[in-house]
Amino acid sequence: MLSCKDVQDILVENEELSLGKKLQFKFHHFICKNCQKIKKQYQVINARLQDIEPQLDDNDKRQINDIINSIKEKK
Amino acid sequence: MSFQFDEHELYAKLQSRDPEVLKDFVENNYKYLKKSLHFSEISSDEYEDIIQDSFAVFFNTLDSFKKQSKLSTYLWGIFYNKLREARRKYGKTPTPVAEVFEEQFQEDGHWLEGIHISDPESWENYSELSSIISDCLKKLPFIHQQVLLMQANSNLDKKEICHNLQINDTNYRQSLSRGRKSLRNCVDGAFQGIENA
Repeated sequence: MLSCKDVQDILVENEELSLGKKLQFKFHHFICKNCQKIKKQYQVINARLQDIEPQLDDNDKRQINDIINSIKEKK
Repeated sequence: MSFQFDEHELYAKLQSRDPEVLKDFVENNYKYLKKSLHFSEISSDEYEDIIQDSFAVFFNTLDSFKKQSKLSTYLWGIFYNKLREARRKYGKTPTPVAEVFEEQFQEDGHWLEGIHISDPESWENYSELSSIISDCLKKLPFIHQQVLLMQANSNLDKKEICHNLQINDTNYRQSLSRGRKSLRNCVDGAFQGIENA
């Protein structure tokens, strides 16, 4: 039987599971409130990580222009 | 605008300095490079130089590019070399997040009695969540932080991420797993602080 800690490891590692482990995991996940909460927490964090985009300010725009100007002519 | 060229076409356009493609390539990659540096301990003045130097080396050496990787991988490889030099020069050390994961379980792997996990439903609509995640990312060891960001945000695959960060497959899996656990623990800890306030 998987322990709570095993289930948490599986939640973060996304490894390929055997059918037996999958069933154990599903069962444990089904009865474990903390496991469900943590799975949801990972989902929220992953979604936010994908959304985090640095805002480009005027300084960045100036730097992008500087880079483009310095490389637009082949040396 | 973002052009959809294959690598061969993109290489030819960049080599001929096609103005539109050049602008698109620099703008898109600049965002990714900035994001990587934003969560590191490098100051904004230093990272401006690192980004500028990376693009300069990339375009100066484009003619000798051997086409054994994607162009973005080549740029990121240059960038990480520059970043490593800067980190060595300034003696930067990461601020690791305490590994509290193990402390949530008994020796037999079951939950400790009374362990509290904050409710993820309350996270979703919390406007400050992104800033909590950003603060927590800054506390992770550099490689964990970069693996998480590259995995979540870039179009690089695992092989390319390993190549850029100069880590092997085992280090990658370990960094991803430890990074995810540490990040979740840190965010959860911040929320428990909010709930208790």
